[in-house]
Amino acid sequence: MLLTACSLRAAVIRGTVVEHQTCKFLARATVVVQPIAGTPGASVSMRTNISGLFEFSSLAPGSYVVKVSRPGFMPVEYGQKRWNSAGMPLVLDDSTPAFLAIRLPRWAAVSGTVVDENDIGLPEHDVLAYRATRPPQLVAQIKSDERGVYRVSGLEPGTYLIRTAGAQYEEGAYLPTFGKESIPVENARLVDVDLDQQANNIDVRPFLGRLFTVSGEVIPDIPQDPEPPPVPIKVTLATDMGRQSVVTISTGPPAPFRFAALVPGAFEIYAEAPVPPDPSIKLQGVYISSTLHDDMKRVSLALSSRSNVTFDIRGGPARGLENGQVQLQARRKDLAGEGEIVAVKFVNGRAQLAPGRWEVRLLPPAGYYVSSFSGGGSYRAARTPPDGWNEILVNNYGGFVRFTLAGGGGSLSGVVKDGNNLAAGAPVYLEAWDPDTRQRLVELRTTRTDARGGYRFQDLAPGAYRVLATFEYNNPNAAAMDLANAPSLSIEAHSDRQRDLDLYIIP
Amino acid sequence: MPRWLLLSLAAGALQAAMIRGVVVENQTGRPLARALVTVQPVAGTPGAPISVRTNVYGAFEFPPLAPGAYLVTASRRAFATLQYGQKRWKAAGVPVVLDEAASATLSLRLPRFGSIAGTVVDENDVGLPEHEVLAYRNTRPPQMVAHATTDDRGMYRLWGLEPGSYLVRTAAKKGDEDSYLPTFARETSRVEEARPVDVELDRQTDDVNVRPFPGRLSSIAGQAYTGSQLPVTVTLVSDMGSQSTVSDSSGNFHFESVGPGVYELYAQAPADRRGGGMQAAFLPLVVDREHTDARLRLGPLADVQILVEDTRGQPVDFTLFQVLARRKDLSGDGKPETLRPNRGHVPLHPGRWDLALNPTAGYYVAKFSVVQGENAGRGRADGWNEIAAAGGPFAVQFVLSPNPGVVRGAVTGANHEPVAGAPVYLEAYDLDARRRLADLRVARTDMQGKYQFYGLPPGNYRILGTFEYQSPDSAALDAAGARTVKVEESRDVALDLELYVLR
Repeated sequence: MLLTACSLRAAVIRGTVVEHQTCKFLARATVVVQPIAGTPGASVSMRTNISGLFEFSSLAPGSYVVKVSRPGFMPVEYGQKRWNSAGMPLVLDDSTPAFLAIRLPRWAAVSGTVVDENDIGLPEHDVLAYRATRPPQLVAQIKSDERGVYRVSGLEPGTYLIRTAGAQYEEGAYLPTFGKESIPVENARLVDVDLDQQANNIDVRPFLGRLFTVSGEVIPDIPQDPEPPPVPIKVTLATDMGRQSVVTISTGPPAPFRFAALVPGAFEIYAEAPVPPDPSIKLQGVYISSTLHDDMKRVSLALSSRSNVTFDIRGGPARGLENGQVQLQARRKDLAGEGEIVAVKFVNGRAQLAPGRWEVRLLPPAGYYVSSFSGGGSYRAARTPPDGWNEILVNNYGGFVRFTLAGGGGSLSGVVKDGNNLAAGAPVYLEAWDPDTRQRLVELRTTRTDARGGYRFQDLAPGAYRVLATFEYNNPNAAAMDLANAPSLSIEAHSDRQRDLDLYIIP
Repeated sequence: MPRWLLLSLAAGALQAAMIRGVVVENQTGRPLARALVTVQPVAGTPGAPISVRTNVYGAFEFPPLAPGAYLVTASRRAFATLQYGQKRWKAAGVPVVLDEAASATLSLRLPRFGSIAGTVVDENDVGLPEHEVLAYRNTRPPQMVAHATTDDRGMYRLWGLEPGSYLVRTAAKKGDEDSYLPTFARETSRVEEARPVDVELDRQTDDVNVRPFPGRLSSIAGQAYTGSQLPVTVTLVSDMGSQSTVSDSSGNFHFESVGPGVYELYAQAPADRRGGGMQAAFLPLVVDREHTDARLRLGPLADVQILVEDTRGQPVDFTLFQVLARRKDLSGDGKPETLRPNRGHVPLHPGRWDLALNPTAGYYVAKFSVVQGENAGRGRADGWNEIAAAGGPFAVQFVLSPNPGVVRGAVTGANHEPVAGAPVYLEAYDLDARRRLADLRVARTDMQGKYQFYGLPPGNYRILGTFEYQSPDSAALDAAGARTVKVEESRDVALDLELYVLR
């Protein structure tokens, strides 16, 4: 009898997943059902069958966010109005199964031909796609085929710039050139792309010209006894238009490196290698920055294995770094932008970062916020709030960084209303904001309202914020917050700010 | 009038001999800037090869040349190299013959290589992204020549292909929940049932779609022991190609997503700084399940002694020959490399090898034998000789005879005029088995139409003078009615040939 009762009370979600353009069934798509706060149960996922069908039974009545993905397609959330909107929660009772028809669109693409002065395609020429931002942000790189034809896929909707890389061939050199035929970015052709669409005939005719080379040798910093095994050294050159890396091997003597087909301008080089016999902990590296005016053929990069950085965390729980309550993240910063985020590993409160520019961020435990950041000696701190990314310059001899944690951060809570109703599962975005410069200060915080429309942010550093509740965006930028007239408010330490919000809908 | 005479172009009597012209794209006629054009004098014509690049209009002009016959070649990246006068792909180029004070204006049209395009699809015809696709020559074993990765739509394009017959196959792919087996187009795991795809120059063969079979893939993992922390390069070879990985400092290696079948594992480690030489190992393997404990114990390379004697048992000086070797594995024959014996010894990686001796013109290879070690038992003394090298000492012996035969003569055209620069092909041939015994020998006639082949082992040969082929196979020699000639020790055979023209 109990089993029957449970079965009768279970809610069901079933549906199909198809390709948006053709309606072909999408087998093996991943479907995730995620209960919003207040709905019992954990996230569950499954794969569609050969006919694109899925079925979740035995769900508790409540509200769920449904997400679908398959390689080669843009992931969607059920109920999204546009590609960058948030999904609407699906409200289930225990009587009527929900049937969802989900259509996955494909990402956008740009294609064209790299041609010479006679419109003959240039084979195996590197083509780069940038977001049309200032500075342009590299998002994809591909080679043209033997006809000079290229196709950049996997692009989010938006505006892009297409550029060829510098290339040195036996018969001559081609300068980096924006489509259709421009060296300066200001004259570059803007390419708008949308989902399920391909922008065609975005041709580029690179200019002939002179290119330069940066080459030299890397000198490892490795012990002579015992005899070390060969060490692979990764050398990266970064400019404001992207990065390129080479791997060179050293068995003790200096290892050569070479970057060709470069244009004049500022560049950074950093090299990194493991230190045998324990590459999991120790590393050696070097960093230089310079400006290229002509060929540089004798660049000497002496690796250092002494770039240990001591991180002093004050004010938090005892041994927070060691027991994982406090986490530190780092990402490379160079002329090309920010690198991948890595978790920093500590040994006795010290961590080794390879020489170069880095940004570090502390993730405090519950009940704390980051109240200050400082770095002495050779460190260079950018003017950003300490609870965001903090830029440092690591030199060959390591150094010292201090984060201070404080308890009693402020909190913000309230309910979100959709007219007279409470909005369950609505995304709420909180932006640390500088009212004077009208700029976002740290990354956006996001939560969703619970089944009763309630939301809460806590452990907030004191300061000015803007808050917005809406399904219209998945991750609104500062301009979208402006457009939505997101209300601004001030958060103080040890205070619990109440603020009810109206769900924002684009008129 | 024969074509090569048409190329003897009269010009102003006071002018020097000149070759100029234009290089264009075959399909569109657009000029090809910066194409490389080379003239190579035929034997008997003075001078060395000269190269120039075309200008922005595709035009080129060589400096004044000595009167004579020249082979003209044009090339540009991504185009098939063209020899002036080629009738077809793989036909030989026809020399340009210039009298004193003559000039030739050439129009060279460069074709593009062939390509194959298609889509890798699942059971609902939805494209599978990031799937590797391989093109093989339709030989046995198939020979991998190109690979590509499907785009987000599952579409691929294999390019740079010479004309011929190909097989297209998807590589094994392991997904989160499902795996795909290596599958030939359109939908078969057996090479015998694979769909052959014909490729031509300037043409793309479309819709060569593949629907890979879902199935179980295995991984191969293990340890390569070297006694040091040197990285070990481990190569996994099957009859469909090879893949390599580098071990960690403990020698652990791993290959993911391996389909069932017969494989060979090769391992090699570089020499260390203490003076230890290279180390290597070889392990045959049948994969029908997970292999997590493959053990490769690397040892010194096989020490192969190469003894070379004349027919009286006297050692022959090492300056009088080259020793060539090529590796043989499940994927076929490797690239020939020249060995440099140290006091008659060369180190070879364990496994199967072909050895060949290339003597100077005064000798021929009369005999090959394995003195110490295993003889794989195939080959011909003056061609490739297969051996199976293992750890430990190994010795082979070549016997050189100082009494080779010679075939010489002239090639004439339909009106009995000598043909300059004509390719002549000589094939060592087994009359009974009707098969080729060694690699084809090639010569070009000189300005008087004369050719000669030195250093020939005694035996039966077939011979053909023609512009129709660049490297005719046995079937082409059959079809052309190539003449048979018997070569004996220390004898010159005089044989004039009529130029073969395909009708």
